[in-house]
Amino acid sequence: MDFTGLMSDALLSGTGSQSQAGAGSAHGLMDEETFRAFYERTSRAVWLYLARVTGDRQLADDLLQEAYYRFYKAGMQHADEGHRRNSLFCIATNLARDTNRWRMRHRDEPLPVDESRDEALAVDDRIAERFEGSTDLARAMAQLKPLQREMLWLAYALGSTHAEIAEVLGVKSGSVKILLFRARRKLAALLGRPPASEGRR
Amino acid sequence: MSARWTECPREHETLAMVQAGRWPDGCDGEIRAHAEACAVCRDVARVGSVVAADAHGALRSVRVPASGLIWWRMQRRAREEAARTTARAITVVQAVCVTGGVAAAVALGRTFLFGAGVPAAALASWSLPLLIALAASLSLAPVAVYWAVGRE
Repeated sequence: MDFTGLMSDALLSGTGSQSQAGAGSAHGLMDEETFRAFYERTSRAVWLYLARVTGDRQLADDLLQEAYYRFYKAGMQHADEGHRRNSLFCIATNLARDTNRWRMRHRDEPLPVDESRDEALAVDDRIAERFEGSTDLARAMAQLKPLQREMLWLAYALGSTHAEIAEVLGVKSGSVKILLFRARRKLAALLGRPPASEGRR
Repeated sequence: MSARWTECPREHETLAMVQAGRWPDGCDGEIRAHAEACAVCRDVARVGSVVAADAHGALRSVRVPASGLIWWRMQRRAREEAARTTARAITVVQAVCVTGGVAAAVALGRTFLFGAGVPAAALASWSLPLLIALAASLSLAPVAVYWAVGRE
């Protein structure tokens, strides 16, 4: 099963043409046709990213629309389709982070005090409870820090390069390798060893 | 942390196998044996295959709003925001105009009612700033409206 090939329709491969990326109205805002084509190519991947990062499908619905609106209103010109996509994911990431911060400030009930875990982790446990499907991966992802979730999803679900991850997440390009290594090691530990049947699809 | 513990020269090869859906059965035994012995490649294979499989599986079931609906909502929202911006600008201009008008009325009233008692020099000194304020308000109003509306 070729994941890269199967997902390329929705996730883009970053090989879009210059003319495609530059299409749009003269004053920077995309025209309807260009926007709708771009939305069709990217929306499912963005929604999935938001759902996995926030752990909340309903929230992902709202953030998806907000992300596209902000992207549209920004009216930025992009060198190619890859940059356009990265810009959109950058907006989506910032929205998800703002929402997580808002949740931290406006949580309804007091979080359980546990000195062995930080506050963010306790909130993420509640995210895990809400996570649709409650798969092993979802539970494991929920125990990671938001940055780690974002990084792992970009690297292994979207196939982003280190440079693209740095651009989207706003971290130094040189830091991506070590941060990704730590996130990957932590997730691997949380997932445990693969069962014999899982390893051989 | 030493680089030799965090990276492996075959990491990209392993990841390419995973993302091509060739892990573990589609790749040769040599790379599998390497991944068993190499902690970096083992984690790449484990995490990469689980995350990619989850993404691939979930992507098929994702339902997003239609692009036409999103476009329509965006346009409506943009119009509403433009209207709010315009309304704010108009309110500010109106406030300036009303303030200027009231000030002018007060000045004129004083002139007519108490004109005899007001020195001509004082009248001249007050009337010029008032006229400038009124002219500025009248000329700035269309500029402000254009600034608010024209950008949309």
